[in-house]
Amino acid sequence: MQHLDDGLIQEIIDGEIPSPDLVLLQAHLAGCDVCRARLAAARAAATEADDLLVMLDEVEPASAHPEPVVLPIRRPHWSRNLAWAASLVLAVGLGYASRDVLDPIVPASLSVQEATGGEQPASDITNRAAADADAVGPVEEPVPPGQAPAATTATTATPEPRRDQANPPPTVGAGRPSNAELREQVLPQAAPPASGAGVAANAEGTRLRALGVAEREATDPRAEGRLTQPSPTAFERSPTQAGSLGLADAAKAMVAAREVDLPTAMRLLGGSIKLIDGMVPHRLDAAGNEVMVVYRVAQGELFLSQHRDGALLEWNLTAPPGFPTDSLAVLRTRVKP
Amino acid sequence: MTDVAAQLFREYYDSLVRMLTRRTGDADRAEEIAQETFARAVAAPPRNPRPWLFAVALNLVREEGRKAVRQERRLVLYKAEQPASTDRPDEVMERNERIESVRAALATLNERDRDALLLKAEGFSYEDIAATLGLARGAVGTTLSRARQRLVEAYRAGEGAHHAAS
Repeated sequence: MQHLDDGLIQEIIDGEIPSPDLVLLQAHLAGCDVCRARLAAARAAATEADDLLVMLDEVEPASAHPEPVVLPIRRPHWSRNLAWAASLVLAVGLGYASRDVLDPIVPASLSVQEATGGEQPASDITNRAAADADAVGPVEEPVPPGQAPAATTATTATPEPRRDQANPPPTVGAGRPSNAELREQVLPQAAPPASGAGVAANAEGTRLRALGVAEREATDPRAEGRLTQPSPTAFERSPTQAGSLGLADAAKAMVAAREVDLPTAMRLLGGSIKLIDGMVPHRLDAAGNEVMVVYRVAQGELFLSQHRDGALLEWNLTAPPGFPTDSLAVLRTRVKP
Repeated sequence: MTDVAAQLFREYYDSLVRMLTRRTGDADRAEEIAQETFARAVAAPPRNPRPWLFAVALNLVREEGRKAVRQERRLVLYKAEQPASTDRPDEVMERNERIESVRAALATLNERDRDALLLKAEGFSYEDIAATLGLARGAVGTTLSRARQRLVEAYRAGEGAHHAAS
């Protein structure tokens, strides 16, 4: 017995068969178990495919909101964290002003890892990615190209100069945290400086005090899990690690954060922006040339921070406490482009 | 707008935008392409408007594509997508994940199969699908069979991988 081909079965499902021909086909189906089963399966697949396409309509059409919408203005909670982190960076950097090395800010996770032998906040993943490439896998030591990894130079080579060394860091201006505020936000147990700086390895606290920087533990509970939020031990650096902090980044971070719209954010990032595919951003914050895309999740807020470093659009995805590590890893793979 | 153009607009605009939104994943872009399509129809009214409109629109989709523009529109779209405050963030995330899974599954289809499926979802007859996509009438059934099967399998495979990962 000959069976109906797939195309004909689809035509039956879609009502494309003229009535006279349909009678003949129905007669065949009445006597053919195989074709009846194939017809039923094809009908189920067609229904399921239609249902899947309808799911795409759950996206509200933009025509319902014809005006471009600027994301709501909210107080940028992470500005204090950046300022606080930057204060330490600046404090350490000032001690090494004679150095010609300006590495990016060492993230807390890296610092913790370096200082405590591998303990890393589960909610903090740092990556470096090309501007138009998908994110690469997580790296243990986030290091921009051309520079020695801060985490691995505990006993080895001196870091190389930054590409943007020629660009003078912006000066602290109006609206930025005062020196008193910054001093209050510096952690007490800063790491010993790099051996090349000529400062004793366990004299970091003394050096900071000499610079007028108070040693006090950060107390902002909201800072936990956020961008560059270190624990009290995070800055117990090895002698060579302290030199990996950049004045330029510290100065940038000290610029007060503000909420921005998408065009502004993209402009700050050199014409592109990384987003988590499939998630709805809640707002965009910017501080200097750093942009933070904020997403709301059940546990709080996810922060996709990013900034342009030459050809690279460097980014960091941070989750709130309690956010599953494996989910964060999945989201990291969805950071696009 | 002329009466003919107004009639075309009333009959086909929403369907065209819906198809383009499903096709591109970007409602803003879909509307712009639809408007461009209708502008061309007004300039040179087609004899068989429905296949013509959708064929022109699909061609525009293929031709167009500035990544930054898509990102910009997408973020605005996301803001429009944002549900009422009663939706929990995890529900929003789950819904977005489902949508992303469907889009990913749709992306596994070749262009012809995908377009045929989207046109059928807009109620196109096999005749009109053939006219729009330049296919033989007799090939539409097998195209749809392959597209539907592929979409369902790809979606199930994607969901299976997602659940395995979580």
